Amino acid sequence: MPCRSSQINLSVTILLAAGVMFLFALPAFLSRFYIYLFSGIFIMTLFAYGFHLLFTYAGYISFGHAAFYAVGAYTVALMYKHVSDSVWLAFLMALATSAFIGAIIGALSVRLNKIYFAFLTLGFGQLVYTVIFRWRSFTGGDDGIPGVMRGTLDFGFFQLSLKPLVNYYYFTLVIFLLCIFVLWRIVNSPFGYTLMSIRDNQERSSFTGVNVLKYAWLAFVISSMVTGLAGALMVSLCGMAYPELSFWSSSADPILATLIGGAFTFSGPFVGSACYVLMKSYLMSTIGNWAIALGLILLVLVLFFRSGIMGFFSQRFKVML
Amino acid sequence: MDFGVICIDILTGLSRGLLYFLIASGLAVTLGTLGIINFAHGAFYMCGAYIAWTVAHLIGNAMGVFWMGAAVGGATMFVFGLLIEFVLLRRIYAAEHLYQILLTFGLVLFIDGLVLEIWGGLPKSIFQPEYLTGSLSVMGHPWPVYSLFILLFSAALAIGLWFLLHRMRFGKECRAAAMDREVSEALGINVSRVFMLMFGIGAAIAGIAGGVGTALDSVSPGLGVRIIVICFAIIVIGGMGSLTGALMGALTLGMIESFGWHYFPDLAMLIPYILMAVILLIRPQGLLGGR
Repeated sequence: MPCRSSQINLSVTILLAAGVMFLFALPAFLSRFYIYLFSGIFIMTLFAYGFHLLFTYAGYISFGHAAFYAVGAYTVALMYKHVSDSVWLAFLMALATSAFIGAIIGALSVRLNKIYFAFLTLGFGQLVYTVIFRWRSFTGGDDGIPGVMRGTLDFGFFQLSLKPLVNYYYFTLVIFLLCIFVLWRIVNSPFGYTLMSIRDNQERSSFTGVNVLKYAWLAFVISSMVTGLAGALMVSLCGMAYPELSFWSSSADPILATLIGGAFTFSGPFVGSACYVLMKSYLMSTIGNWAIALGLILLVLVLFFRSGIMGFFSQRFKVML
Repeated sequence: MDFGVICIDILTGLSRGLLYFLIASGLAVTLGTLGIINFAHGAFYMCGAYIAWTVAHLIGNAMGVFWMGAAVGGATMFVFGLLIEFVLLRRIYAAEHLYQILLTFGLVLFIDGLVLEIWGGLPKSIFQPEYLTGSLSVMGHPWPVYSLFILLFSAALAIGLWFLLHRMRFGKECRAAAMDREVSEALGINVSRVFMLMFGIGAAIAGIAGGVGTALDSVSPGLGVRIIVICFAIIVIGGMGSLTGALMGALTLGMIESFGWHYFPDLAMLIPYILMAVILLIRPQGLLGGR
């Protein structure tokens, strides 16, 4: 499957730089609603990249990523509520907890083959949901944790409150770009290529001396950290942590976003998330019950449009995007 | 410790376990023959339950409405299963496993949304028929008649399924088609038809189980996913792919749940997950699975 995307030519570089500048300039001419929506797109993109790393590069499909999303969200909410309003502390803690939970669930889930992996992640995801839902004294049960604030960034010499939406937009954007850069480096490193060899032929890569379980587990942990970070960003944006974040249907979000954009391209999750967030916000305001629509979209994508939007363009213009 | 109480726990575990087996058997069979992991299997159970409720709701308190509900639920799911195989699954046998999994996951999303649209979010439950209420006395302790009924009913259906698969021509055709599709076709077996029927039968069993099961627990939109997770826990515990494995897994889970509800009610909801994790740690191939 085409996935090697290490050669970026000049035009793509220029396009990328223009795109980034555009994103930095956006708040100047957009209303609050759209700033909020774009922050949501960045967060959904990170969520989708968490799924994408496992799905596209290692060939493992996870139906339980909502668990890490919720773990990140609840960690930040609880840190702000009980410890301090330091953004550094809360986000580091969110990375640590999602990595920890991811390490446990990942170690259990990669033990069987790739097909059963989907079920195991679904099961353990529902386990996390059950724990969040039932552990009322700690997580607030089905009431969730309302009124999550946005914290303060402490740079030592000056402090930046993230309370204004524009500040939070920039914070999200910077983390988003950093994450994408790191992921880009990861998938184009020997580690990334090893993952692809596992995806293409697990047996053969283990014959060449690759410890398949270890690599799959490492990819799982990285993926859950990215997902946890997305959850951490989301909870401050919308101001509330609630158990449905970890419900199985929330695991469908990154899957749909990735497939719409094109699973086997690097830019797919971003394009897909943008379409997905816009579509979802439109569908939710027009028809209340959008799960049916999502299900239908997924069916159509799988049956007729497996390459997704960016996959389509890549084939059309013979460029790996 | 009272011996009678333990007896009750064991009987309850048996009854629960057999119902679980009934649900998981359809999944195991479609996995074994079609090679497709069907995430929508739990949704079939849920739909069967809702249809049984609707029948009971429409007809009211007539004689045999309970049986009619289960039968209509099963029949509807049979037709639904045939349709799904014919319209969707058939197009995707040749594709990668990832896409098959994604397809049935899309089906889960769709059915869940549809159920929410038709029946709403509130839990629904039907009454057990008059002659199945009340309780028996087992060594001086009461045990509900309905549990005995579930035990016998599930056992009968399971034996029927075993008979179908191992003693009838259809079962032989199924196994032949699963082993080698091309050779079976060359021998004159209509493999497409066999696969379609097999998927329908799996769905029908889930539908019937749903109709019978609603009188035990209520049904609400999240049920399908809860059931599919339990089904898969059973398959992991018992070992992949075989009906015997599914039976072992289902009975183990039923027993441990029955004792768990009794002695550790706080942890009871987590039992399937914990059991699954423990098995994965100490015996990843399952209780009966070989390497």
